[in-house]
Formats: sequence, C-alpha cells, structure tokens
Amino acid sequence: MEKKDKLAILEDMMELEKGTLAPETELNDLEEWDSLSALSFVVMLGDEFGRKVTGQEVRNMETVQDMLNIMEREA
Amino acid sequence: MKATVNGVRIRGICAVVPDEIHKFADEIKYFPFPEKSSIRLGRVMGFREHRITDAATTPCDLASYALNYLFQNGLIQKDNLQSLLVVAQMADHRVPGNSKIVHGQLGLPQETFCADLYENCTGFISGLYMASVQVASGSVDEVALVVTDGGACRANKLDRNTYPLCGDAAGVALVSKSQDPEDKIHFVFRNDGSRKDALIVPAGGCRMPSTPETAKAVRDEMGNYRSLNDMHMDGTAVFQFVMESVPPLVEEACAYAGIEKGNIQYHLTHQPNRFMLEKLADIMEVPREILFNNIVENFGNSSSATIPVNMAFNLGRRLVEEKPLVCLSAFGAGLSLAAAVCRLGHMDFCEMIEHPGKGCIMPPKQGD
Repeated sequence: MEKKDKLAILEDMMELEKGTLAPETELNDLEEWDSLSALSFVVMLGDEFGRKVTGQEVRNMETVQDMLNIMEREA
Repeated sequence: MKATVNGVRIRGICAVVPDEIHKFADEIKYFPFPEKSSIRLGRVMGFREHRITDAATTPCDLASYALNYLFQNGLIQKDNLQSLLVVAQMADHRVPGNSKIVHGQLGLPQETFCADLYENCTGFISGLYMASVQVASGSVDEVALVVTDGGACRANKLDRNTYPLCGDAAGVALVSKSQDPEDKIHFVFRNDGSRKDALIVPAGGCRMPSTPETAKAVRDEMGNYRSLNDMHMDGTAVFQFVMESVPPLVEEACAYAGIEKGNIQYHLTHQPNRFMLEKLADIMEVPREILFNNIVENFGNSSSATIPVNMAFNLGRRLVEEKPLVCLSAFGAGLSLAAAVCRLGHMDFCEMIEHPGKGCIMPPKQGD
C-alpha cells in the first residue's frame, strides 16, 4: 500500500477532508485527534493491518509519521 | 476455574435505576474538548443519557429500595430471608459492610446470613456463583443476591474517558433451589492480576491513602483531567483484552456446558459501551440483535449491576413467560473475566423500577 493510501485511511478514520494530512502533521494540532480517533486507530490497525499496538505507544505518537511507522512495521 | 452448580435457578430479577436522567448533550460543555469531537464520540459509543444518583443516595439505599419493593409486593417474605449477599465496589461506610447496612435499613431477622463480596464488573457472575454454591450446599433454599453501584459516577466530569459512560443502578436476583434437572449453571472464570493497571483507582486504599495531593486533577496526554482518586482506564488495553479474551471464554463456557454456541438465544453481557459490544458480537460471529448493546445509551455502565439491568430492560416479561438458553459474560477490572451458561426464565418476576433519590429506601405503597 502506498503512503497516500495510508494517509487516506487515516483521514477517513478522523473524518477529515482528503489531502488534510501530511507525515509531518502534528497530532496535537488536529482537533479531530482525540480518544475516539485513538481507539479507531487501534481497531483499524488490527482489522486492516493485523498489527497490535499498546495504549502507551498510541499516547506517545506525536506526528502522522509516527502513525505511518506503526502501520508499516512488521506484524 | 470452571464449575457446574446443579439444582439452582434465578427465581426473579428486580433492577433499580435512579429516576434522575443526565443527558450527554447537556454534559458536552463540561468536557475539555471541541463540541464536534464529543458529539462524534457520543454517536459511536452510544452516549445518549445515563442515570446518576443524587448526593443523598448510596449503594445501600438503592439495594434496600429494591428489596422493600419485593417485600411489599409479596415476592419475597422478609421474615424468611435466609441469606443476603451484597456485591459492590462502593461502600456506604468503611465499617460495617453494605450487607449489614442493608440488614439494618430493612429490619431483617437476626438469623439472616449477611455477607459482602467486593467485586467490579464481573460481580454479578461471581455473586451468582457464590449464591449458587450456598444454595447447592443445602444450607439455604434461597439467597437474595444484590449487586449495587451508586455514587461512583459523581466523579470527575472533566474526564470524558469515563464520565459519560458511567451509570448508577442496583439489581436483586433471587437465587433459589430447584428440583428441575434442567436448572443448573455452568461457570467459567479467568483472572489476570498482572494487568491491574489497565483499570484502576490508584488512591484511596491502603497502598496510597487519599490526600489533598492525590485529589489534584492533572491533564493527561489526550486532554482529559483526572486525579489519583479517579478511575484510570487504559482504553486501548481494555479494548484489546475484551476482543481477545471474551470470544474464547464464551466458546469455552459453551463447550463446558455441552452446547453449541449457535444455540445460545441471548448473550447477556456486561455493558461498557455500544461500540465495544458491536465489535464483540462481530468477532464472536453472533447476531448483534441477540447480544444487546443498549444499556449504556439508556442507563450508563453500572459495573456489576449491568447484567440485571440488561435482563430487565431487554427481556423483562419474556423471562417470566419463556426460558431461553443464555450466556452471561462479563469483563473488567482485575483484569477479570466471567461467563455463565444456563436456561434463564419462568421467573416469578423480572422488572425494572425507578428510585426517587433523596436516600429513599421505601417505595410508595400501591394505591398511594
């Protein structure tokens, strides 16, 4: 899957306009990055990528690139 | 642990909820988040309204009110009440236990056995097991099992992680001796205390007594405010625990009971939020219609009381007229898991009543 497709998944997950997210986007700058988005990310990782993540890893994420790194890492 | 208890049944269920309705839409203003974000959260999780006691009403008041209702309506004889088991995580007093407070409020006979079981969200099933074992021992014919949760929700309105989903309620289940060979309950329990931090109130016990310092609310990474006296929930850890652990637990309980999972007519689970229960039904490959998920949106999550509230609200009269095969399941702090498979029904009563607040313990007499 290409990076732009992964960004599209994250935009869809946070109900953002297409093209809103870039790897360097800071999560704290996004009004839509909240506990529901965090849970949606955990669910999406499991459903779409077969990946597991801890609550601490989710809380430690600072940028969209951090999300992409988790999506891309070895299962 | 697995256990089958023979010759027991639930003769009746009475759930009680505060009549005070708190609407999520009115609470959004308290949360330290944009309104849009809270509305989206409410839509997905099923936060609509919840029932919270007023400051004068305690877990024991809810319990005594429900028991008095049963006495007034001739559904239990007060003078014959042999055993009272009260399950709760909140207590009216540090000493004595809730069961003694309820005993005094109701003026129960001195001969009545009274005991307390401190339990969290798996409390109804743990209590049902303890009550069933007592009945099966032959020492009593019936146990009044009370699960009650009140006061926990007057907690921190700035914590959107926990406040909108909580609710107060109590439930009474009469666990009785039965001669019918069909009346038996198959239990499965699992615990993982190494994961205690996923759902914990850090301060207020012997490990960390509450002090002015522990009462200070601090902002977390997601923007919620909570103090060490408040419930801390690692939502990701709890979600993963439930999705990974509950489906095999239910499979195991069905196999142990010697039935096909597909023959279960209703899955009566603990009620954390709608989102989690929809996902759980999907993973278990169970139709969402038979795994009810509507208690949080109507009443809130009342810990050990959600299963009787679920029974009374979603099945009610059906548990008087019919006797479906059901699987109860619960999961929560500990972390802990519990399941029970049984035929449930042909009860004398299965209903829900409302508590009027102000610490009331006596329902109005019929005709008042």
